[in-house]
Amino acid sequence: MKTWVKLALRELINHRGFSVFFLANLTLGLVGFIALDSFKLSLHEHIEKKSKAILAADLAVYASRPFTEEEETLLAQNLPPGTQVTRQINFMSMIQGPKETRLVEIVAVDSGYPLYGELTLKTGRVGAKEVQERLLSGNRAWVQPELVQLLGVEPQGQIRIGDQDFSVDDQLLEAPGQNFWNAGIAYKVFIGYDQALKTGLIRQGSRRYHYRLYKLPAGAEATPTARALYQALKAKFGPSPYLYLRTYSQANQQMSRILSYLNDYLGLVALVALFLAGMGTAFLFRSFLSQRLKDLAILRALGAKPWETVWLSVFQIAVLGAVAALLSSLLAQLALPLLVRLLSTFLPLGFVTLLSYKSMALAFGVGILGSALFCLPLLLGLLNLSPKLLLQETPATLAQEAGLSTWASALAYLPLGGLYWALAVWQSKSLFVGSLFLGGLALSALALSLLGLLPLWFGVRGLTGLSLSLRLALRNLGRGGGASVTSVIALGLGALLINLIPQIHEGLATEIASPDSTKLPSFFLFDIQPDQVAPLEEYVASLGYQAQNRSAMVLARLTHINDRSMDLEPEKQSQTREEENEEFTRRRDQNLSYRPNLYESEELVEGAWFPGPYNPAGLVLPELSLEVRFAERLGVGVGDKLSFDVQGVPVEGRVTSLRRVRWNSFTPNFFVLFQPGVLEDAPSTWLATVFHVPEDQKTGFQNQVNRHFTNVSLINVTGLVGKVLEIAGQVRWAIQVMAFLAVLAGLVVVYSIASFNAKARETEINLLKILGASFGHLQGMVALEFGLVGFFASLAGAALSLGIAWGLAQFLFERIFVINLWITGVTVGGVTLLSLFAGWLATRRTLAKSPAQLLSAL
Amino acid sequence: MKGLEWLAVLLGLFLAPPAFGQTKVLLLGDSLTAGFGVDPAQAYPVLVEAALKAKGYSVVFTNASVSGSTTASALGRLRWYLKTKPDLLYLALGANDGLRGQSVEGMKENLAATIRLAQAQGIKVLLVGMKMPPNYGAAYTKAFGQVYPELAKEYQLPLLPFVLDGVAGKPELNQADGIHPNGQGHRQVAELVTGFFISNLRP
Repeated sequence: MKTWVKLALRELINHRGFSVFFLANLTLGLVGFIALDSFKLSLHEHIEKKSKAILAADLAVYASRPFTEEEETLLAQNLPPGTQVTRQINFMSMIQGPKETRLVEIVAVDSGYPLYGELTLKTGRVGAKEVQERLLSGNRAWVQPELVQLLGVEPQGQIRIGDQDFSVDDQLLEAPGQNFWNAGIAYKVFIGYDQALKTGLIRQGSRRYHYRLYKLPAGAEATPTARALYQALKAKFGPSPYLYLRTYSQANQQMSRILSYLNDYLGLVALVALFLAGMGTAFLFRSFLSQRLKDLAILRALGAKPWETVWLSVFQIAVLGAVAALLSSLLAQLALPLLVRLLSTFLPLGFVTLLSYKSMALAFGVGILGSALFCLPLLLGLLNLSPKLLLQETPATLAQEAGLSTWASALAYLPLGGLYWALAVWQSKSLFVGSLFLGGLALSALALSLLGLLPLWFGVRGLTGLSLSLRLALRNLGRGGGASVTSVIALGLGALLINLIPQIHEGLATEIASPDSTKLPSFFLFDIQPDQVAPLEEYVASLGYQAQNRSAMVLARLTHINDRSMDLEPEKQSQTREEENEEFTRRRDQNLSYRPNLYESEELVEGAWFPGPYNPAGLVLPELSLEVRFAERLGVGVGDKLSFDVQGVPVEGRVTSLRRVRWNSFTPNFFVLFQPGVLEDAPSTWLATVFHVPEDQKTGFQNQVNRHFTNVSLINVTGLVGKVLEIAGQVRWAIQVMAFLAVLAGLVVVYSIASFNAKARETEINLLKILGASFGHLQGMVALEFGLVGFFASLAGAALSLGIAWGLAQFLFERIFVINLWITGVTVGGVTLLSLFAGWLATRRTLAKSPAQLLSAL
Repeated sequence: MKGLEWLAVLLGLFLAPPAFGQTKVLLLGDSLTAGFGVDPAQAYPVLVEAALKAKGYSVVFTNASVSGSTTASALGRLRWYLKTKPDLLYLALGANDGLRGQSVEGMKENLAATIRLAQAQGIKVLLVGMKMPPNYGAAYTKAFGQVYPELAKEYQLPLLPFVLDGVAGKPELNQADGIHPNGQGHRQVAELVTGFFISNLRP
């Protein structure tokens, strides 16, 4: 045994040129994998931390009445030990300042708040300690700065909340768990929990929400905990408990959608990285084994048993794989901080890099086990390896030598398939996504192998009329046999994986894209009465601003879809609160609107836009344009008839177009738009937006508009969307960086594959040189050959990746898909160039050698 | 051409010959009267109309209630629905003004202008009161609550002091949002409102 180990190591050392080249390629591929996986982990942690600060907790339970003792006990029993809790009450109230009375939202917090994140006050950032020492120590209030002006209160001045006076201790700029939705209608005032109870405002009949915010101990996941808690509540109090649960990922619907995209996307990136690394290592080992074929035949001639040659190879694979994995883990420690430094200008504040130990372990697994399994058919083939190979003039390929039937070879690949399927499911954390991905990849490999057979076909027939170089190149490919097919598959899959992530990224980034802050409105104005529209516009203009995007809002109820009534059948009355909520959504009144043109934030996905105003003299129904996801929820499409009850008057329309709306644009958008000329006379209220009001002018603007149009409400959009936009921006950035890194890592792997293809062709290039082929001729031929393989394989791979990306988008990303041909071009160009470059390098190496060296190599 | 289709539909509605002796009731309210979140057949106006008819009253309701509407829209909406020539106006607005903390004086003036227009057209007005929950503060809830009796007194109107009497604040009678009555809540409101109508209608 010891002798075999020595022999294996000595062989690796004797062929150190090869071993070093091999190790360098493998290490590079694995570094890419670890760095990509680690960066993914860091990003995920960072964004999750940010989103927890939005709810200020892992989990919140709330009710519109105080918690009963029974509920408190049940909650305490069903949460993991070590869970931290804090109480909170939110309610609206009119509070009185020296100047006037305003509606505010009171947020009464208790010891321990905030469980995550910090509050930003005018005097600085504070945490739970300061909340305890300052806010909870007496009748003190932290108020949003706008209120200071609106109420006319001085610093440390008094405001009256219910029966109590409070002193304004500081101004509140930002607080975890507050979405500032009411900002504008009601600014926020933070006070202590016990102090709130003394105001006399919280009693029988008061509208308020009692919260329990929980921070779970390390290792406890919010979603399963919430699920278990819900089950416990349901078991105890029946299907309609009056307690509601929310996890941080549900805190904001938009945020939750973005986070679920991010999770799935990062899962895919991990899969791509894993397969790139796996493919790279497997391909390299395969070449390694092919190169070692003659040495193994010599060993067999010297009396080595077949299984001993197998163990020798497995051991060598293990050693090289382990050394590469070790080197790459060490290099990743250096590469990751370097990457972070390179990206430091773009990295979000407080970004912490984490080295993924899981990915290091995976690198070892992929490096050793994956390669061994990939080489399994070849290793089994070694059992039949005969010393007569030494007598052959042209060495046979291992596949030919293996003597395994096609079926046996296919069976020998099964363990590899199983391993990768398990890894895919593990990495994507989804049986479905993992299986879908692997299935797509297997079908693509099949398609690519058919494509790889094409050059064989052309090569065998020989194409008269083509130039000599082209014919030679095609003939060479034809002669390559299985090796040609393998390189087409390898390069094609490489191109597929490289192109896949950027394709998915493009659609997602467009969806998440937040308009730059200059394009965001400052205020949303609503409840403008029809006769106020013109005077309001004039008034806003007199203040130096412009009211834009004014939209009519006509309330209606959807009564029929294609003459099918939307009313519930009595026996189908909902039983549970969930069913109730679902029906609530379905029965909700719809705000209809009308306008002659599409907004910038919309695009038609089906049908045609309104041709003009409706002609009531015609025999057709008015046209409708529906938001595409709304149409999906209702189960309607172009051609369907919808009937509405518009405040007592039935109005019908036919769907003639579906629109995709970018809701992040914060322009007034509607699910249902009517063709102009139908709803104009219906009772309506109006919405408008006002842009470019400087931050320090906002309160003044709001006051002035309020004074002139008392019923018009204003929402300060910047406060409302700031936090969401910040996180959306970071997610967008993250998926872009990941797409970029995936391309980079992929190109590295493709280069390894191409350079091994080229190395395998060295012997043949030598032969042609000895036969007197000119330098130019040789270079042209090799360039053509490698260029052709690179181009067609990457073209096919990239095309297939578009198909897979489209398929994944259908299942994972709500059909958001935008093709990025630029990246596809870069992939095809990049892979072709790398293939050319590798061929050129191989030719250079051969040309630099003396004829004697070349002859001895034969 | 604009709005002709709408007009045609409305004219059809307006010009339909009224049944002899039928009382046309126009309901001008917000989400509570519009039946927000419940099946249209469960909304209290439908139940009240059916109950009145069952008791022999000849009434026909036009529910012109709009969720989220404030008193600011009342006058404009009444002008529009005057075309239906209502005999009775059931005026149930103000809750959204209160929830948004709008000026009580402004709200009172909006309601007063609507009442004046209705009376000028010979339409009898039934005023429906609303109350603010105690968390809005004693001063505001008191000022808000006084608007309805004051208007009723000033314009000599029948007043239903609080339409959600016995329903508000009871989770079992309200939807998940805690403000809007559920089916059971609507049934309870309907009983109260039916009684209010009966005491102000001729059979």
